Amino acid sequence: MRIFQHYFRNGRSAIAGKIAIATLLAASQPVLAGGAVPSQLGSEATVQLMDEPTILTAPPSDAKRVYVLDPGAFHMTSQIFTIDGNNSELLGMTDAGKLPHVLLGDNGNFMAVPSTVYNRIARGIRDDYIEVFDTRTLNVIADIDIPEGRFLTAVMEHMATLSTDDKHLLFQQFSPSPAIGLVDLEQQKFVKMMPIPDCYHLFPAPNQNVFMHCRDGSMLQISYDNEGNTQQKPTKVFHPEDDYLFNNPAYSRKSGRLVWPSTNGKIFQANLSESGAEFLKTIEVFSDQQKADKWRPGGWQPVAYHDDRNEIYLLADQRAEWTHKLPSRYVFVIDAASGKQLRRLELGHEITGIGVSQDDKPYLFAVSADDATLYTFDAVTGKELSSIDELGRAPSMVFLPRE
Amino acid sequence: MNKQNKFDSTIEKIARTTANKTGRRGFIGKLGGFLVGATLLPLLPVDRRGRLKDAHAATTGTMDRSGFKPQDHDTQACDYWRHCSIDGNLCDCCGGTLTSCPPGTSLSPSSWVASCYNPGDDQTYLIAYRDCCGKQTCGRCSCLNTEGELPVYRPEFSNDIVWCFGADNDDMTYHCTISPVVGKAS
Repeated sequence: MRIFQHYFRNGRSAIAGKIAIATLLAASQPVLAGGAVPSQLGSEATVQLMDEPTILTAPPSDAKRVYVLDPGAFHMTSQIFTIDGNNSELLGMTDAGKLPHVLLGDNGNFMAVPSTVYNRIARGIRDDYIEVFDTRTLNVIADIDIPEGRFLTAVMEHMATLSTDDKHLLFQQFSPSPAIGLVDLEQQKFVKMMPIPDCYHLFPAPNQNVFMHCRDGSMLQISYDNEGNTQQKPTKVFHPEDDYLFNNPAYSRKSGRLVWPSTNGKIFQANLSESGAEFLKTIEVFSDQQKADKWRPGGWQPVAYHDDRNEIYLLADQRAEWTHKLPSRYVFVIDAASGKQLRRLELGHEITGIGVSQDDKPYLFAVSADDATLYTFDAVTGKELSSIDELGRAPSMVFLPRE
Repeated sequence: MNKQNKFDSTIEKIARTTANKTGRRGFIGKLGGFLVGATLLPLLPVDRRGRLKDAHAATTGTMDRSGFKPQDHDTQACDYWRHCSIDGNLCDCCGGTLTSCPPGTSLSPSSWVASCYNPGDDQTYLIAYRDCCGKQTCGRCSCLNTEGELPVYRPEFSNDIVWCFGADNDDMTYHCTISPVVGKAS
């Protein structure tokens, strides 16, 4: 089910008409804000133009549409850059508050952004909310209030998620007690905080199921109904306690494949579905010689997964232990079935996060927080194709739609 | 030649005057006192942090892929030993100190912890990192240290969380981090 289909089906013109009516109604009210054209301005300020300025609309989303998130360094505001990855052209920007999530739905036709602001910059009354954007106009098509419970961390991709049918949005609460916030996007309303045990991240599966990863190394399958009532079932422990997993695994809502590297170079995989979690054989990424040469994964968003090619892309470099969040200059491409290294891409830049397009000629998108730049590579040959710089203060994550 | 004679006579005059007015013991005693004083001066408990503060034009001591290499003399550098697991801004550079928050912020009573090695006394200490909250991110002395840092599912050891739980006014907004010692790690 595509909840915003009515919006796209009925056309933007209908929405535009409603907005125009709202604007006329607003214009008939006394002007209270300072945004009206001042009456004391000379005619030069509102002179008729020979040119006809317009507001652009982005082309329809495709597999190489990229969103780069710059949350700063725990700053109060964030920016999301919409980029045409085919040519590294900037299409537009979206504002968000503190440590927002970027959730792409309906094949990239809409973007839901759970966000947090305060009414006095960094103090005062906290307000958590979800804005839903049309990814062509970048206009808000829904604005949903939620309880002030978002778990504020350096942005972790899977601390909030859309359900596989885009009907619900789920977000994690940490304080005062662990819970999942359930939002009905179709009704555009918050439903309930659903209590959970000490588990983290949200990986959706069909028919109102979601999996979480728990402290003991197991997963928890949670089934929920439209009112937020849950049934919860733990899986077996799938990784040792001292194999520390990165905070940003790769997960495909389309296939249910979870790809989760550890800081010492193992990759744990699972296929998640309504019927449960199927854990796959653990991959040891590096050879003994590579381990001796100190090859280890590292970065903030260090892994991407291509569904159809069944390939894993892992950021790595030669590094000491406990440097797992520093950037890397290489990507190892690994066959997800056999675990074999297929190729190594030398990126030539200090890369913080990666993503891969899901088409049959995939591009690898690599963002550098140090350079505030998104670099684009041919994911097969590793050739650098293009780049775009000046992407805010410290852009750290990339997001792509899955078709 | 004349110039040299004049120079020689001037020095001779000064030497004779000095010899007439001072004894050898007094002179040597004063010289010794000066030398000892000069030697001891750097050991006096003067506040050197102000000098370091002036010297810091940018973040220093940032960790690279070769790992964390602690030092024990510059608290405003990212490689100061207590900062071994800080991901954020040092309050010492933001109007606070190593163990105190800047004015106008609120101190969180909750923290993540790490064991940090002090090269000065060859001991390892447990550090409880506390966030100072209620203001925008400080932005100065930005450090990304991850010695012993664990994923979010081990939150007590994770430095990626906004650790402002319990701060005054429920300000879940990060400004900077202090590095107080809990005690020696066993």
